[in-house]
This record gives sequence, structure tokens and C-alpha cells, in this order.
Amino acid sequence: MAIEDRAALKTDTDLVMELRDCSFFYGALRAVAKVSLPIYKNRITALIGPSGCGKSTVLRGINRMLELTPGARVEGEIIYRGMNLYDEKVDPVEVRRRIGMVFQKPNPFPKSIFDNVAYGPRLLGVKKKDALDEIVERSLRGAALWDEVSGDLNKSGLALSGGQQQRLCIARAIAVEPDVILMDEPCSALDPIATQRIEELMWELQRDYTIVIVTHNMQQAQRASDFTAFFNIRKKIENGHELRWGELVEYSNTQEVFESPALQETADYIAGRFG
Amino acid sequence: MADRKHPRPKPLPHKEGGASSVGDSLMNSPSGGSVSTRPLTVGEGAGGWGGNEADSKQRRYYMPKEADFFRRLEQRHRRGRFGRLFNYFSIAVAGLALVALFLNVANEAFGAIGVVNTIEPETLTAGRALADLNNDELATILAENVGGRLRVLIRDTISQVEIDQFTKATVGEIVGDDNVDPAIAGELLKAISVERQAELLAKYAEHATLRNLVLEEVVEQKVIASFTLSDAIFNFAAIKEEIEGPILNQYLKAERLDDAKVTVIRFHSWLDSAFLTTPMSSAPALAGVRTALIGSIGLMAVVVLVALPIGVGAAVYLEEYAQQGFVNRLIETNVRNLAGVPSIIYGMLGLAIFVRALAPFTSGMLFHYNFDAPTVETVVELIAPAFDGEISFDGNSLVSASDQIDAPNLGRVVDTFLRFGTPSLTMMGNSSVIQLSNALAEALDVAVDVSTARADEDHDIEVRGDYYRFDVADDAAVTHDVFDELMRRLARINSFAPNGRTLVSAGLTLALLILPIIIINAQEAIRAVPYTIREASYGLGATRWQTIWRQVLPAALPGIMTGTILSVSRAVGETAPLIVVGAATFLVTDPTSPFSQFTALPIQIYQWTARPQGQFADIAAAAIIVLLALMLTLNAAAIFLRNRYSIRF
Repeated sequence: MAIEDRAALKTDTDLVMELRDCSFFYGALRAVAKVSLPIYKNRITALIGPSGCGKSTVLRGINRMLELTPGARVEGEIIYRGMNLYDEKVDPVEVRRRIGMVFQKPNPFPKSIFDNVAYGPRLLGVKKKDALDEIVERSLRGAALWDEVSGDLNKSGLALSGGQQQRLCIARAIAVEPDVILMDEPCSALDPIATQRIEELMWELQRDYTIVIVTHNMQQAQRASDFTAFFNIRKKIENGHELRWGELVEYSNTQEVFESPALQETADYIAGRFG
Repeated sequence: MADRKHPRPKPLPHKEGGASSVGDSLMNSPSGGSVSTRPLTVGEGAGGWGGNEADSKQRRYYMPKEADFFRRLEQRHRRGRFGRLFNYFSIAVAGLALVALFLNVANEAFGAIGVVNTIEPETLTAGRALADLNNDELATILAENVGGRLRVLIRDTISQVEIDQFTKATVGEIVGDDNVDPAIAGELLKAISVERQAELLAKYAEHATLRNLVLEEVVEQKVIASFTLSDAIFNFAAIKEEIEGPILNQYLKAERLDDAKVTVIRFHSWLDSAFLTTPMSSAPALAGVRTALIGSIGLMAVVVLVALPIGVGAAVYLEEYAQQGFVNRLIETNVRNLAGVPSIIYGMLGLAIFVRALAPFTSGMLFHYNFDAPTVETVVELIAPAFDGEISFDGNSLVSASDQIDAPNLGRVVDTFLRFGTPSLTMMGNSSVIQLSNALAEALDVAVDVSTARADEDHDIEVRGDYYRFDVADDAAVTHDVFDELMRRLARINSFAPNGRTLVSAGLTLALLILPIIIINAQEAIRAVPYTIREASYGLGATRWQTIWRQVLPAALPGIMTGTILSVSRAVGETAPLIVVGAATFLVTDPTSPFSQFTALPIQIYQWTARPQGQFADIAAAAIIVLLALMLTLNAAAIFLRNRYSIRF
């Protein structure tokens, strides 16, 4: 879809996903309370906030990775293309195949570059060599890594530099042609140059994918995202114990959040006057 | 603000100005006589770690005074020196123990022997060494000296046919070669001349075999004394004197021989290629470890095939599937405890389960190994003596000429025998005498009382130590005697006692023994696979099994293999459980299937060291070297795998 066309889209008609009153629990502990958040198609939505406010928890809840943590569960609905992801009939394996994820620390498999990218398609049963060849090339080109590694696809993924590894992880994620890509602080382990490349890549990817990114980097959120959701920590003393949980404080388009935040809290955080 | 958030509880050593490092302070320390250094203990002062003035006034200092510091430093170094010395001492003790072990084994396995020859080899070869003769010449020596034994030698060395077929086989069949001279190919071996027999030996036997045959059969070489390597090196003259004097005299006296023998004293390695390739023998000089080595390798194969998949499966369950909870913790604790259970207890377990309870399986009976299911013919042959008249089976129907039993009853009796002779019933445990007699009575259509009384000797039948008396009514078709006889024979067919003392029983026992170790190792290896790998796989839409099979296990495999090889090398060295599950102590036939009798290297070593003759101690030492070599090879393989294939994340 061309960018001009996308600009013409009305955001409210292109909702890919919507979190409705979602609370995220670890055992009895409520980690994030009542989040309602729209995710728009072909847009980048950034989740920002201080450490421990539950951004990553929300992100993992979106593709049902959270429940792999023993004791973790989600209450509420996440409507994805008209269907509740937490419906009993929904298979989490299918959710994760449609909603891909890129992690904080680059985590390529200890296999060749080719096998890393071909892993997802192979899981889905693609066996033909020429099909895999094509997918791998397309994905590596899509992740702007092809030119750097096309000479030696049999090299171990672990032999690449950190930034290359992270782009390999992105290539791996887009190889299964997901709908939404979740990125959990994808640049926090990278140097500024590698970070810039990933950001540029995100703009490229935006054309075909919907992206949700968790970031600690205000500039990154401001530069790269279309919408921003600011989470903050709430505390309460109950029966002598301090309870902490995260809450969605403000959500709007990025320009608005950064230039004219509705709440003082948001403004303080963005200006670094937090804590 | 920053200080309030991150209070620094103790002052760190510093120099005035706050820019220098601890290293600088030490270089300028008072031992060098410098006075420009401030004491290391002082922490106050502007620009130091102390923070603001108000803080530093209240602060108390816990670091030692300068003089104390140096005194204690000296003390600390002293302790370090002591620790280091102790470490050197430990490694020296360990090294010495290892050297002592190797020296001891080498001392026994190599040495000098005194050999007595009936005929001096040089007289046979016109002064040439035996090793220089070619096959034809060696065969000719054999033909000239022991021509009558050539057929036996051919049978024992080059024959390709079963021993019981040997006398009926043609020359062509015996050598298993289509190109043998057509003039003799169709003949029986005994029909051809000694010279032709010698030609066959020369053509088909190996040179080393022929040379050994000459030594054994013609020279009649006998080892009368053996001395260790250290004796051979340091006391050669003394042992030579001893061998040629008292030992030879004693030997001649024992054998009632004149002094016409020739003594050779030479260095000898008990470990040679013949030792590896010959089976057990009652003569130490001729004994080898081939059977034991094959047994040990067979055990390894069973152990790996059984313990690896089950161990890895259990580890995967514990690490990837099990809910963390009381039950899981209980299982894990028990697995860890099982790893420490003495091996003889596993031997008892193996004896009870594999050798006894699962005997029909471990003896191979279920797979028709070591078991000939009875046929109508064999049953008729078995029961015929119980009847006066002739009974027979003509291929289609049973014929009875006995007035004790008619054909239909005979048919039912035969069916009963066939039924009790099948492995499926035997598997249920040996049927009781009561069951057998009931079945037989039903087949014979007679009423029978069974009692365990021992009153009437004539009617007693001994079955597994119990005495039974069968009372058959006087007007019955068969008499007491016939029934008793049939019962005895039925008991015999039923007691095709499956012998569970097989390779597979021992292998399963050893597999059980190392299973906990493999589980623990595999758990460690699986745990070492970073969670991020699993996360990445799940994130791409992999199922749990796909994640385990395609990511976790391949990444953990080098660790699993290393652990498995090390534990298998432990299993190969185990002796106690093998003794309990019944390894054969004297076995000359190689195991040919998992259901064969077996022996293993440690068993062989144990047996040999227990024997009084000194030369058995020597070959035990040689067998120890073989076992050590096997284990070192396994350990080297483990190290290689770890270095070559382990993945660093």
C-alpha cells in the first residue's frame, strides 16, 4: 500500500486490534490494570513509561506469550479482526503466528542465517527448497540484511553483529508473514548507528505491517511512532503492604503526546522530570 | 538528589583530590616510606566519597588502621600460600595415585616368561626363525609332525561349516571357496591326502595362525614361569637362574619328563593382538578377551539404546512440561537420590525384574530365541514311553495301538502339551502343578485328586521341590503310572525354563543404573539452553513440541551426549550388578544376539584376579589395559563432542 493511500485512511476505520479493559496478572498480583487501547493498521504504536509499569507485560499479552510464564493470565478482551484473542476456541499458536514478536535482546537460533529465517515457514510445513530460498531472500531484503549476508547464508546467525542479529530476528519474524509485529525494546542492546538502521527499517515495514513497539527511548518514540501510549506506576498501601501496578495514563497520536500532553504526569515523564 | 537515592554506606579508600585510584595509593604505601600518602583509612574531605560535610561528621569508619592493614595483609598472603601449597600437594597425590595405577598394571601386563619347548624350533626350520617361513613351509612342518591332527586343525581354524556338520561336509563347503581345486572340491576331508590338507591350511589360514599352530602343536610351547616387568628389568640374571634351576626341575618332575627340554626366557607382552582376538581359555597363555570385549560393547549398545531415549524423555518432561510443584520436586529429589544408590542394589533389582519376572522376554523366548516350541512330533516322541503300545503321528493323524489311550484322548493330551509348551503361557510364570494336572486330567477325561502328601513313594512326583500325589480312580482309562509319567513329562515341557541371564537383562540393568545420571545430565543441558531461544520459537508460532524438538534438544544435544558417554563409560566398568544378574564366568562363544549368554571385561578381570595361578594375574592386568583403553576412548569422545559441537549463546 502506497504511503499516499495510507495517509488518506481514516484511523478509526482501520482498527486492527483493540484492547478492552485488559488487566494482566501474575498469580494473584495485578501487574497492569484495565488497559483499553486501539492499534491501528499500518501504524506504529509506541508504548512508553518507566521501568516496571507493565509495558512489556501488555505487549506479551497481545500475542499470548505472557501465558508461557507460569501463573500469568489476562482478564478482559483483546479484539483482533473481530475476534477475541482470549476466546477459548483460539489457539495461542495461531495467534503467535499472526502476531510476530521481536525481543529486547537479539536472539537468533544457534543455526545458519538461512535456517534462522526458514524456521518459521518450516514450522508451517513449507518444505520445498526453492520456496524456502525465495522466502529467505524476500525476508532478508525486507529486513535490510540481504546485501550484508547474501554471500554466506550458511554462516551461523550468532556470528553476526548485534544490529545484524536484531535485523535477522526481524527477518525471521516477517518470514511467516504476520499481520502485526510486536517489538519489545528492540534497540536497547544496540549502538546508535544500529538503532538508526532499525528505526529506518520500521518505517519500511510500516508499509506492510502494523507495529507495536515498547521503548525507553523518548526520542525513538517521538521519531518513529504514529501513536503513543504512556503507562505509569500506581502505588497503594493495603494492609501494610505496598501494592504497585501499571496503568495506561494517556494515549493519543505521538505529536500530541509529546508536544501538548493532556496530563502533567505525562509532561513530567517526557521532560525527564520523573520520579 | 542522586546521593539521597543511592547512599554510599562506606567510604572507599581514596587519596586527596579524589582522582587517584586504589592502585595509586598502594604504590605509595608506607612500606615504601612515603609520607605524602594519606592513610588509606581516612574517608572524609572535600571532593571525596563522603558527600556533604554534615554526613562526614556523623560517619563512622570501619576500615582497619594502616598498621593493622599491613599486618593483616601479610597474614592474608600467608594463608594464601598455605592454600596454594595444599593445592599442589593434592594434585601431587592424585598424580602419584594415577602413576602408581598405570605402573602397577604395566608391571603385570608386561614381563618376562620362561617357556619350555618340546622341540627346538630351529631344528624344524633349519636355523631360520619361524616368523620368516611362508605359509607353505609352516603347513609342511605341521603335516610332517602332526599329520593326523590336520583335520582337527582345519576344523578349528578355517572351516566355514558348523562343527556338527563338519565330518559330512565336502572340502568345497569347508573352505567356502568356489575356486578350490575341482579334483578335491567334492570330496570329504578325510578322503584326501595329508599333503592336500596341508595345502588347504597353507592357502586359507593366516600366517600368524599357522605360526601359533606350529608353536602349540609341534613345538608344544608351554609357559612355566612369568615374572613382572620390574623383575625382568632389574633382576633378569636372578630370574633366569631361578627359571633354569628350581622352576624347570619342578616342572620336569611334575610332568615326569627327562631334562631334554629347552628353556627360553624372554620378554613378553601379555597384551597383544592375539589377546584381543582369542576367546577365553583355561590356559592363561592362550586366553584372550574377545568374548568379554564383544560382551562389553554389546552391553554399551543396549545401555545407550535404552537409557538415552528414556533419560532424555524424562528430562524433557521434568524441564519443559512438569508444573513446578510438590510432586515434581519429589520426583526430582528421588532421581537425584537414585543416582547415588549402590550399584549392587541395581543388580538385585535387575535380577528380580529382568532375569526372573521378565524372563520370557529377556531370554528371547517370546522372539523364539533359545526356544524350540514343541511340535506334534516332538510331543508324541516325548509321551510315547508313557504308554505300552505304539503311538505315532503319521503326518496327518495320531495313531494309538495302546490299550491305555485311544486316538481322540491322545489328541487332547497332545494339545495340552502343545498349549503348555508355548511361550505366551510360560510368560505368565510357570504354571502350577495343580493347573497342569487339571489340564491333563481334563484331556484324559479322568477324575484326579492332587495332594502334596509324600506318603506313597511310587506315586510321588517331584516338581520344583514339592511332592505331589495324584490319585486316579481305579476304573479310569489310564493308570496311576501312566498319569504320573505324563505329568512328569508335562512338567518337563512346561519347565522350558526361560533363562533370563542374557546380554539384554544385564544391559537393561545397567541402563537402569545410569538412567538417573543421564536424566540429571540431560536436565542440566536442557536448562542451559537460554529461555530466549524458546521465546523466539514460540513467537514464530511453534508448538511446544516443535520448540523442544527443533530448538531445545538440538541445542542441548552436545551436553546430553557428553553426559551419556561419561555415564556409559561408568556402566562399562561396573562389575557388581553383572555378577548378580549372572554374567557367565567362563564363556568361549561370542554373544550373537541380545539373548545370548554374555560376559564382560570387568567380570573377566574379576574372575582372573581371583584365580591362584600367577599368570592369570598377568592377563587380568592386560585386560585392565583393554578396559582402560575402552573407557579413555569413550571419555575422549565426550571431550571431543563437547569442544566440537557445544554452542555458546
